[in-house]
Amino acid sequence: MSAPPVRRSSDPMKPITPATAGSVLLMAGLVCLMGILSFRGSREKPEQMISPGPAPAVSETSTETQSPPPVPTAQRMDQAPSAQSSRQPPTRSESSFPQVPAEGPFPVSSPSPSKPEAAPEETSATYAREAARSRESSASQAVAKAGPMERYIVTGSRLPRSPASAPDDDSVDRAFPPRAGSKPASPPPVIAMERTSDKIPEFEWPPPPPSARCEIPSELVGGGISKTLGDVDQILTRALDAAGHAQRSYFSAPGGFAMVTRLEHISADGTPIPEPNRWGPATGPMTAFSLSNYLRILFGSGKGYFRVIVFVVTSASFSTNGSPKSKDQIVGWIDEGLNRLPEPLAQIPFGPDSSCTALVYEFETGGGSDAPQQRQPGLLSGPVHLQRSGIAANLHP
Amino acid sequence: MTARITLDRCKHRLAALWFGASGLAFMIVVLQSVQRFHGLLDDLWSWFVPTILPTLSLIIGILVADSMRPHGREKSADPFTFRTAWGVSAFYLLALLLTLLSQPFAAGDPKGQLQFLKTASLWLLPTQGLATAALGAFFIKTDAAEKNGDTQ
Repeated sequence: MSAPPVRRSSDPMKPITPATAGSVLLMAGLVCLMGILSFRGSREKPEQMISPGPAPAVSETSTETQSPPPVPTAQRMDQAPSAQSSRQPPTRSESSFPQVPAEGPFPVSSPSPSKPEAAPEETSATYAREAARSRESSASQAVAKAGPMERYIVTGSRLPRSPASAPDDDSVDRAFPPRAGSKPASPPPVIAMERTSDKIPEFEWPPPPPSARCEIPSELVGGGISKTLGDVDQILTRALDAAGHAQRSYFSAPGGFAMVTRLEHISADGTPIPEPNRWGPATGPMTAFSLSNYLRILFGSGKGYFRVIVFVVTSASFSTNGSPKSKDQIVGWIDEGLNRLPEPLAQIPFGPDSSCTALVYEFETGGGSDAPQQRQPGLLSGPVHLQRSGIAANLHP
Repeated sequence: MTARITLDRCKHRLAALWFGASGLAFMIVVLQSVQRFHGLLDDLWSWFVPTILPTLSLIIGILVADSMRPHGREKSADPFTFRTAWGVSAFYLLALLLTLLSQPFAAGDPKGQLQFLKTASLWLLPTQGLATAALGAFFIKTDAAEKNGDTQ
């Protein structure tokens, strides 16, 4: 019995033709491509579902009690849910679009939860009287000067209310209850608050320990040229805009103000991560191919570096030995502050004893660990941070 | 009549395919373990090991068993079964390698990439099952052919 004949086509050295191998490669590539697309789609869904939230049932149109607008979706992306829940602004309404009810130009507001005994009708009438008085007294408020304001800021006390709205105006107290142990404002000076929300948020004082800090030379922020803190703010704002920081928040600080920038994703050398991942919590997937970036995302350390810069412009000397804050708390500053420097603060003179200090809070997320840690001391010094961020190059009066 | 090819060569080619591609995937995962997935090593390796280890164990077992058998005449195998096993294996290993290499396009952070790898199991596991089944069919068929040839 002989062995079966072996065909030439069944040569074991050529078992697979190039066409077959190419087909296999193409099919495997298609499968992976479809998997990537479906995975990226599934990761984007939760972000799209984030919305400012439902509108509150009660909204107000009072010119003295404007509510802060809801946090934009893009701004919320870099904050943990815990931080969101822990930061409740002390306002009566969260709606940014005042709604005029059908019954009249002044809205009917429900009583604050802190005073449930107040009847809705009485509260509505109080708000109506309050708004009317506000319009009548707006002219007298406009002539107010910044002298008393500065005094209040230096002493660290909360801002007083306008005497025009002081009588039977318990709505402000309901919304902004005085701190325990704080002295009553006497005599209440007239303050030009120009439709502000009654209170300028106060910055943590003394500031929490930063990763690095830097005293900006006075000549860079207009020393000798800048007459008020508003002038310094314009210089800082121009430099931040040029460096890509379009979002910032303002707080009052003893003797001046503090400006907080948004959490910025940076590389290890302090340079910002290119858009659109600069303001995100983590590096996104590759959108444009470059070999170095590809290898970095595939084999790199996976560590992420972030920073928040706080500019403190004040005539007061201060230390940075405040109580340490978590990353979520520091990131939350951007939502707690005002969107622009209030006029009373802007009118404070920028004297020779005033200074501008940059506090850099630097965070690091490593590998797969969830908890970002503040680096202390920071990876880089304060001047290097300002230089690599592009802010220092644009600081000029 | 079914044409047959050399059995040992077929086994060696399958082993070379699996060990070569698995070694490449292994190197990628090791390099990623050094820095990138520093805090996620357990998850990474518990995902990776089942993707190659069962089939490699099967191939090693076959090769060891062959080496312990006495040498006889050169045997032949069914080319269709071999090509099917080789093609499905190549498809699976290519999908595995492309999945590993395409992580940067799916996510930029290690956690997202690991999540992508786990999601990739949706298409890798069925393909791996097909590859293992094709390999099993190849070895079973050749084993039956060997027995028939021995009895002839």
